[in-house]
Amino acid sequence: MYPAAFEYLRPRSIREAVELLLRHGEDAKLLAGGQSLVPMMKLRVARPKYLIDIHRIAGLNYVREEHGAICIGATTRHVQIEQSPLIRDKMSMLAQAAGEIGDAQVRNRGTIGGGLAEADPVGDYGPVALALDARMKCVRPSGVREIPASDFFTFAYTTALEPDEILMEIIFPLPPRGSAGVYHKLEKVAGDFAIAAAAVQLAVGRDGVCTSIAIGVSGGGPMPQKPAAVENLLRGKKIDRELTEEAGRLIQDDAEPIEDLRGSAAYKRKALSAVLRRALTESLRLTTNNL
Amino acid sequence: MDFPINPPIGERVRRKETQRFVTGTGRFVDDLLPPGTLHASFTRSPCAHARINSVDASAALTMPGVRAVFTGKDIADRIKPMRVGGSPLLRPLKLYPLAVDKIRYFGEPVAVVVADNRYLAEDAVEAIAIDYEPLPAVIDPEAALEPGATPVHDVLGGNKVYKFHFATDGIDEIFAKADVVVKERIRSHRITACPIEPRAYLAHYSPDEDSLTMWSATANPHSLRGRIADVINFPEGKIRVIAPDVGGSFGVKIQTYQEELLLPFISRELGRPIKWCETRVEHMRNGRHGRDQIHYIEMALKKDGTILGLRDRIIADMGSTYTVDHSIMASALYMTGVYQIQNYAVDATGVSTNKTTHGSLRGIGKADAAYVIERLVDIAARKLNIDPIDIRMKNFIPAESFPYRNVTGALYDSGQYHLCLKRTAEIAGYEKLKQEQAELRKKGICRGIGVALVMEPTSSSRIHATGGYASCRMRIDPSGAATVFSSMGEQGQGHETTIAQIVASQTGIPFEKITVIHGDTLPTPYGFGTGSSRSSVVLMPSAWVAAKKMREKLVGIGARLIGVPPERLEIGDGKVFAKEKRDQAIAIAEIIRTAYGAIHLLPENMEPGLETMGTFVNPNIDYAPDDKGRMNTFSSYPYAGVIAVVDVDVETGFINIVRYCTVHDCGNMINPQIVDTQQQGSIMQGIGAALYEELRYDEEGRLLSSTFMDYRLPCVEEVPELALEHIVTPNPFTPLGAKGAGETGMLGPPPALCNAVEDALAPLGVKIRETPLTPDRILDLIEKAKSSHG
Ligand SMILES: Cc1cc2nc3c(=O)[nH]c(=O)nc-3n(C[C@H](O)[C@H](O)[C@H](O)COP(=O)(O)OP(=O)(O)OC[C@H]3O[C@@H](n4cnc5c(N)ncnc54)[C@H](O)[C@@H]3O)c2cc1C
Repeated sequence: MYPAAFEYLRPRSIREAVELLLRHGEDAKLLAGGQSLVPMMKLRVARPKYLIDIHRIAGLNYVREEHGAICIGATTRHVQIEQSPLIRDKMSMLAQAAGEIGDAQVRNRGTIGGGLAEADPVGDYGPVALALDARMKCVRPSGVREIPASDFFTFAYTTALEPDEILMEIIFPLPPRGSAGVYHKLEKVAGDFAIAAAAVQLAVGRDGVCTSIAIGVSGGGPMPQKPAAVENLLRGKKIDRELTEEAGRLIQDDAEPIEDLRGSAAYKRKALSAVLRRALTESLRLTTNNL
Repeated sequence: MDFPINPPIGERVRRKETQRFVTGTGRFVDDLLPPGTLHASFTRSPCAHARINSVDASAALTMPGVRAVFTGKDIADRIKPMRVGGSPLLRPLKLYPLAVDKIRYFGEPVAVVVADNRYLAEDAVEAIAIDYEPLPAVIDPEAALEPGATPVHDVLGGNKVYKFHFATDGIDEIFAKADVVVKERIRSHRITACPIEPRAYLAHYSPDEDSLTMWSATANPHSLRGRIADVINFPEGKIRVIAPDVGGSFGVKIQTYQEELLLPFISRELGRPIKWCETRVEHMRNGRHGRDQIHYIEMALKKDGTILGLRDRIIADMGSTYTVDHSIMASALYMTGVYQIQNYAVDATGVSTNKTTHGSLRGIGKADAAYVIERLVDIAARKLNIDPIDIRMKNFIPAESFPYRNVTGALYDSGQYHLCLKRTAEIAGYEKLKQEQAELRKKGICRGIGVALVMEPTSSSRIHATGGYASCRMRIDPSGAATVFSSMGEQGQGHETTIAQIVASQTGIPFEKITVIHGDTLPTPYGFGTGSSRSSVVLMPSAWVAAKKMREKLVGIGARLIGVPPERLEIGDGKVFAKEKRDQAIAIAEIIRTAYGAIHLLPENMEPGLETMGTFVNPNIDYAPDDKGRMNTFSSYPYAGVIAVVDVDVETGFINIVRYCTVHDCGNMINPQIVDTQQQGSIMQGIGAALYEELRYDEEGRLLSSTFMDYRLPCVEEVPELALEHIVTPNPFTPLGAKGAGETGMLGPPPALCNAVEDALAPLGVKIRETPLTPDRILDLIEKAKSSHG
């Protein structure tokens, strides 16, 4: 638990951070809450020569509503997201997901930007970002761009971010009025990463027919997924037990989970099916209550 | 029997230790840093089994801040090999603190770097070039016994390192004639204790004084002192071992470790203090592991559930550099548990494999036995269609048979098993639970009820291993405060509190004015380590003996001063007074002043001053087996009834503990608050073992669960609704009537939860034979059962 030597840099602005990143290239790593990076450094799996600490940059920590979306600064802590009245009110599944991350110590320090950039295959933000079509606003020397969530995750622990790019803000478009969102996570013990998780945002009409559906899942492969086939299956149909079962079968058949100490691939397939069905059932109950 | 249970003995006195721990002012080894300290770091083997062709430290030696590097070859001819202790049945081995020519487990230390700080030491560790020639890893203990298996230790030829056999006459006929025989293979899986503080050592050799001070997070300071003296060939009298605050042991810190013997050697070589604090990853790979036994067990019964006999074959995975045999011995000797079983046979084999050293862990061996027998009784009950409580009641040793000589020679001190389980069923609402279960089943909810009654042999004494006594020396200072020097240290047991309670009760010195010194070999009397729940059985009585002598002295002086015979005097309210005439009294303060300053007033032949020594010998122990191989190596037998209620989620395989009810009996309780917290923590540790924790090795022998991300411990959110009660059956062999109280809790969850889960899934015909009960394992069993039922 003793990291290799590194130099600690503390830029005061995004601009300065971008410059430092450009200067030190592959030798540098951004440090946000340190909840993924520092353990990796202590195990000497990560060995950056330079640590660029962005979590003190002013103006990167905020939650606000703008143009029909909730915009969150990259260094906003998990606990702030969990407790934000705005998010709890308008995007409860995101608050729920943040509240399921690790333990209180991790949530007090870890950031949403770090969580997304880390791209753990079963991190808790991935499914929500995918379900809600979030956009990642990033900056690099050549300028600013937005990466849609569906392009952001490219493999386990790998994203579309360029080495000299910094994630600045995450933009979550507000879900349709009357829809209800549920994040359902299956974890071995409290504080663990998910075995599998499902984020479901659902709206139904008075006839029980699905008017809008957005799903994101994790545990079915090396990165979180947006299962379009399942969304298509449900959209425009009455969501009943049978259809839910079919959705479960579909996600299960398409999944290619990674086997690890949290479970065999065969088990994770079933676990994924179960969390999806449960999230669907629960969001159906909530959205029906909203009617 | 009459027990001197006067207040504050028996009261829920708040622990003296709590304040400093909850305010972060405790002092642990890692808080110490004498000037000039150098830091050690170890190169550890990345493979489980390999020959070491060469170790090249030349690059490391040129790195900044590096002061020295030692390899196995460097030390092998300069220090003596470590002792393999505890039993003549273990095949002897020569073990050195660093691997000399062969690696025997993943993470074994190969070389040590000493540098100005730990970071530089770690950097240099990476620069040591080692040429390994990999050998096939021996991981499966059954395969390890097969002819042609690669030997872990070349000198031994094979991997069988321990053999024990015991059988009563006519056992085969009993099985041949029985109505029913249940036969199972049951395995207890490998776990470790995970104290919050991993191991930590600081060795300080002073060239000026030619003496060595060793600060160690040890549970066994006096033994460690002797081992250091032996291995580095240094006078024991010049060594002082100090265990400052120690953050938990649960057994893993009672044995001596290679690093613990190496640091004093290095400190002596370099003439500087040397410090090493283990990381969690190192601890998972090198700290002692426990359990890991396979039992091929059979039980012969009558149709009505009467148990006729038991036959077991044990294969115990001892890991590579095994050091003790307590685990396998305890399993073999106590397999018959709480039942009247006088026909028994066991064949126990200890196997060496390329895994981490097996050793002490809360409930060592006894947990395996309790698990296996409590599972088997349940399996038999199901087969015979008898209620799991009824079958136990039918076979329990009755209260009036105590002290009870079990089949292997153990003499159980006391117990009321029938009453205990009856009370457990009452607090659990057993009959109502069964009705609820039937209703829930109709709704598709798989609820299970698991019963167990676990017994924990405590306070062991093995020749040259765990000793058979403990001591306390005490002094009342002229100011009226008392200091007690305890032979046993503490790692969370609360000795500072319980010893003070005993002394206060006997001497009338106020509890607040009593300080307990422990864990330091210089001021404390010699004694063996804190383990096997021995403290309440031998240490507390030794405090009682010392305090009783002190009481006699105080009363004797008082008698002389006020002219009343001692037998008519009593101590209370800071005075010694006549029982019948309370105003005939003298202040204890006056007695103390007299003892030190006015010695011409002391009774004839009484020594001046107020110092006493109390020693208590572990009662009820046979050190050597009798002609039939029977022996009694433990002296007290606490137990607990358990009823666990679970719901199993058949879609995810998750287990929810709805309620955990337990009735515990450890005899008289010196401090019921401490007993409760020991039970609670112990039960959670058992729940962890049953549901979450497992040390898993891959085929090459690499430990996969080396961090808390991969070795999941239950945390506060996993604590179930817990109903905990006590009944009190005093231990007749000790003056305080207390039995061990640290471990029984941990024994309950594995059998009770397995029984509950099997009960929950009984309609599907699921059988649980492997643990932990992880969701994937459970779901797999459910699906297999479903498909085999068509
Ligand atoms: C005990 C424990 C349990 C945990 N459990 C969970 C869990 O259940 N679910 C879960 O989702 N996570 C869990 N985590 C991870 C946690 O959520 C981390 O906080 C998160 O993954 C990383 O965020 P951070 O701010 O700490 O980032 P850091 O650790 O500082 O950085 C992580 C990586 O992201 C990069 N990075 C950080 N910020 C940016 C940025 N703005 N732009 C570009 N790159 C950036 C860093 O360079 C680094 O490579 C757990 C962590 C721990 C220690």
